[in-house]
Amino acid sequence: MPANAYVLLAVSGGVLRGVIALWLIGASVRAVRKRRADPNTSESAEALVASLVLLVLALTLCSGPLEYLVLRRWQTELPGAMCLYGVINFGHGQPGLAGWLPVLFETAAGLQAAVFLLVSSWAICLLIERQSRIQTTRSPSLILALFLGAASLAAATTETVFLSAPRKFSTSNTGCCVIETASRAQEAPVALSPAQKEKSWSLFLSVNCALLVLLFAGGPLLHAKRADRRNGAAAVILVMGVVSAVVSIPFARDVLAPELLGLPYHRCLYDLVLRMPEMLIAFALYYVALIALGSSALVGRLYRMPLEGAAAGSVANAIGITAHALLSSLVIVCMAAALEWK
Amino acid sequence: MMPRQVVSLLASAAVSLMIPLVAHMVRSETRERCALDGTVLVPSYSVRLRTASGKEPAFCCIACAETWQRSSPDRILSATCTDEVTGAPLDCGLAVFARSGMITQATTGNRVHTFARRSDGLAHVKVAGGSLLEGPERPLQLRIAPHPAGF
Repeated sequence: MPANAYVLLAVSGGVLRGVIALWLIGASVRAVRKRRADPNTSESAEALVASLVLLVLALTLCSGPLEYLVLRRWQTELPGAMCLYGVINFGHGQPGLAGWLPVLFETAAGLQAAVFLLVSSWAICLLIERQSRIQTTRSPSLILALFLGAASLAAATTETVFLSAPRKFSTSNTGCCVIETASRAQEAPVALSPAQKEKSWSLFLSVNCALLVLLFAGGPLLHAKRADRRNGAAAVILVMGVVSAVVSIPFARDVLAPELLGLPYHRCLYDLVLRMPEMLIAFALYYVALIALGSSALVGRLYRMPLEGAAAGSVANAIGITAHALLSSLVIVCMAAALEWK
Repeated sequence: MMPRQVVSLLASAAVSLMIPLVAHMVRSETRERCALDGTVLVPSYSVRLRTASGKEPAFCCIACAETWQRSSPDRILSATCTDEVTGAPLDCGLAVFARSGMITQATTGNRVHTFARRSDGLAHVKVAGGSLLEGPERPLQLRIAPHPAGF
């Protein structure tokens, strides 16, 4: 591992997150047991869980910029890495642990998204529990906190392994970051053809517009009285959200970044955001949309009884946030593409 | 859907529409960037190609120009390098190339240097190590594809 101050800080942060996650798992198990024994005596245990959830959230939020700084530093040390995408892709196709580094990075990013999703769902559930003022032995927020601890532990472990894995910074990588060496003389980056780009645009727009329509049509069903309708709507919206992410993330990397940067072989979203800060807003809105969508579907699925009053309102608000964020993100992307198209 | 929700959705869409518009107006990119990796060009190392489609992509170093040349389906008509000593443009076919220990561009690790005079190339190699690139080793040898129309 090429050690520098950022790496040490990021690895220490990862270890700290792991410890806090373990503490959260323990505190959640203790709170669930107390709640089952007597719902009126679990207040202090639940307060500890809430504090730890907020601490996990704060540490996870800090880990993103730290990881960016580490990658930025590695970019200058890694021959052939023209951008952060190249650093992330380092090790692609190589044998051993190095070959797993890009997968580790993607897994860590996915687990980090899961942490945000669980924090958001936990907050909605806590709000519902506080507003209903009914002390039951079953608490979805505590169950979510338990899963959050597990997800945070997995995210911290994966990220720490990614950051501290041994790297030999003497070989190059793939994607837009091809360098001129004797062994790679014939290797060239690949750009998408106009037909492929057109297809990707159509797919991206149709999937996300379908998701928007589904939110308006199926959103109210998330707090329907009939459980089968609620579960069905939650499942369909969740599946559509996953499809949207599966289509939109490669689209942003392979089509949007090269087009907007005007560099046919350059697929670095970090560079896109640095050159066009409005895309950071678009990506953040899309991220918020996915988290809110996942949370509303998860909360709609978690509650066995029909959601009414404030509880139904919380889920409806999450659906509203999803719709607004998704629409705004789509508008920014389409408008930026129209303005910068070369 | 309630009329209030429709109004709020339209309002957020209108605000979102303004964000890229304002950003586009504010952004004023005057520095020329590499057509492959987007790095800001350093004049003394820049390379410019001219293609059959009329494009003139500029690159931050020889390595980027070679990578672009390998992957682009566009016919390359001419390649212009820069003499590192004087900063003057020169035809790549007439240039003297040297590979040395000195890196011109950190991100690509390019070690190929360009000179107008052989004596400058030899002086560079003497100081920084390496050797002059001759024959098939010379970079940017135009591999001009036959024109589809046959002329």
